[in-house]
Amino acid sequence: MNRRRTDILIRATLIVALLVVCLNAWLAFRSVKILNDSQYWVAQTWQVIDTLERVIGSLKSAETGYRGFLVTGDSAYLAPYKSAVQEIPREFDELTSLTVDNPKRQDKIAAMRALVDKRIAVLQSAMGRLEAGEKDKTGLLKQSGTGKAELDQLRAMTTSMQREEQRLLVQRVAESHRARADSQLTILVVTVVDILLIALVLWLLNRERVLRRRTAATADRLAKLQSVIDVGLTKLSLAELIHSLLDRLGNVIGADGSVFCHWRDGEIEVAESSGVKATIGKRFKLEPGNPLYEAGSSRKLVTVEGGSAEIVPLEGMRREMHAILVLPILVSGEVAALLIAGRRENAFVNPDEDLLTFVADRIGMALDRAKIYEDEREARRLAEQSTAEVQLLNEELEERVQLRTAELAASNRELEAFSYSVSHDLRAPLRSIDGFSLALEEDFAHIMNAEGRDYIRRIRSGVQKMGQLIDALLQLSRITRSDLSREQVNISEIAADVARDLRAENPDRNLVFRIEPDLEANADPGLLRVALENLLGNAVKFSAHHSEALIEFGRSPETGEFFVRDNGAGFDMQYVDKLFHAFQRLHGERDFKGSGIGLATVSRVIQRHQGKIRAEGAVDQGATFWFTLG
Amino acid sequence: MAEPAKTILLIEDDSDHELLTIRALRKANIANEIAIARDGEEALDLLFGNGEGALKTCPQVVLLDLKLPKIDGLEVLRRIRENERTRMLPVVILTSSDEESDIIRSYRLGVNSYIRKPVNFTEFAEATRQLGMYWLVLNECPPSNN
Repeated sequence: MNRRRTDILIRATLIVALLVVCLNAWLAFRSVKILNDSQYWVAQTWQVIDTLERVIGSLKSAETGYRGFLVTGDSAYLAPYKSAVQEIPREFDELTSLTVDNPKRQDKIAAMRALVDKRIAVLQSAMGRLEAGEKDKTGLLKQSGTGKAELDQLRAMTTSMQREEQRLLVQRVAESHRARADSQLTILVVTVVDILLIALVLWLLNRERVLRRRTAATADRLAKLQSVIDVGLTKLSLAELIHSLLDRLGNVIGADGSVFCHWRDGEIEVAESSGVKATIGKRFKLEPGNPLYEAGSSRKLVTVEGGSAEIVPLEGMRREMHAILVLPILVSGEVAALLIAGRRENAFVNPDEDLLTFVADRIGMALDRAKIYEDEREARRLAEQSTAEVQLLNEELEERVQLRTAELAASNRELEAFSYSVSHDLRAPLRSIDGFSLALEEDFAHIMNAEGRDYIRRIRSGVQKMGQLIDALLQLSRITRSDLSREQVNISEIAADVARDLRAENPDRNLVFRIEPDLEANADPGLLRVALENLLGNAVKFSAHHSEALIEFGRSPETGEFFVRDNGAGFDMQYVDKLFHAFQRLHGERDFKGSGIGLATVSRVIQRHQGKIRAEGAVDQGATFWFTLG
Repeated sequence: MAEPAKTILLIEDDSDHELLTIRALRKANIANEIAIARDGEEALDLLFGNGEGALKTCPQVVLLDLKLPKIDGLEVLRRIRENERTRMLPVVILTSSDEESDIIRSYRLGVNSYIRKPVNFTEFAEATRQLGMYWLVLNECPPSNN
């Protein structure tokens, strides 16, 4: 808008200036014309006067010639007369032509001509008479007169005209002077105005040029700025960012080569270079006074050239560059890097500090962002790596678990084979022993005494015990390797069922079972039954010396533990740890028969359910077994 | 075929048990001829072979131990059930094992009875007596048996 107005103004001013020049020319031309006209008029006046004088002279000559001839009769006087008579019309013609543009004068000249013509005519007639031989010369003279009156009249007319012309001349000269003075003034004024106008145009043009140059510079600056900002926007990895920044910054500040260094407490590490050799990763410790150190510690742009540039530690820069510019780059308010740019020949003249500072800020921000991005990426990479490691570990673990499972399966198979072997092979000889003992008793009882028969009975009793032991061991091993299949079971019903069996097995015992009804548990019913058989069986067994055995089953309302309590022999709490181990017995075989495997089996069942079992008791005070089922 | 000709095939590798089983059968007044096989291979020869040791007729009942040398009892049972001629032959397993898996597998293969030999011989003799009574006296064999 402004520029258009300026354009219009310039054009208008130019047109006005041109018009003024034309006016000037016209004025000059006019004044010259006025001058010329005046001079012409002056010259014409003089010419008219001169011609009139000549007319008077000619008339005088004619008068003199006539009179001479009249008096003397000498024809020698005829020559001037004749030439004068001839001359006079010509002179009048001349006058007429001279005054053609002045009718007033022409009138006067015509009057003069008439006067002269009349006199000439008088003279001509007198001459004619003379030539014809007129002798009356006096009469003739008298008749013709002297012509003095005509001459005087003529002279008077001429003088009047002269006077008129004189007056006109003075007037014209004054007019001419005035015109000249006017012209001079006008030209002067117009010229001054013109000069002013041209000066205005020139000023406007210059102003325009400066504006244009400034606009171009601003546009250039903006473009450079944009190029740098673009980098910050598009490059996300730190290395890429630095690389692109170097390239573009070189452009922005007109550098031939540049190096980007990380900065930390007066130490720099070369990160990237462009257009100049530099060893990436090389570190330098800077001393105060070094331009790099100054730029880094003062956080200000530093430029050096010539000898001062020699201190720069970067060899390529030092050797190749004449002038060096150091731009500190701040990240989160701290100097994080230095941008070192060099020029081979010229110094950095008036580096655009505002632009560079702004660019440095932007680079700082971009670096910060890139760093955050890289940190994040690194964190993600680490996370991924650790995930991968975890996965690897998991796989290893899985592998190991599989291996262990396979080992376990193998050992289970071995155990199965072993149990099979136990159940089959250990029992087979027992059966033979028992069978042949019986055969011995049946077939040879008549040749044996009572002692012999007692031995056979003991043999068979030992075989029975051994058979029971084998069965108990088999049960323990089976519990260990069987699958646990939990379901909601009525544990009270199982307990009641077991109690019923026990009562049936011991018809001669006074057994009182007190079973809390409808207790539920989530457990394997088969294993639970084995546990209850053993626990209730133990209770029955160890209360054998009491006339009335009171056996309770229930659940503690406080702890939620199930319990089996009896009023039997109990045990000494100091041996409680041995209770649940296989083949550990707290009572002698003589007092209570047993395999020593029952409680170990119970403990195994509870363990399989991830439950806990504990025992409380005192000698002859009965025992209580508490258990949970996980 | 005459009644006494009803043979019992006892497949048992343990000679003690063989003796005790025969004694128990005899004590139970079972007078049937008892053929003995001491391993699985011998049993199969007796049942399906053409040699001189082979049985002329199908036995009335087979008493089979599971744990046998060479070919085990379950395999013998499978072969018996595979063969058209012996498909309906009553087979009783007499074994020390009370492994659930053995019992299940035996019944799957079509055993007629599974008896665990008790350690106590008195009990065993009683079981044997009942067995003989059941399979040899009370049970009517299918006519295709021979």
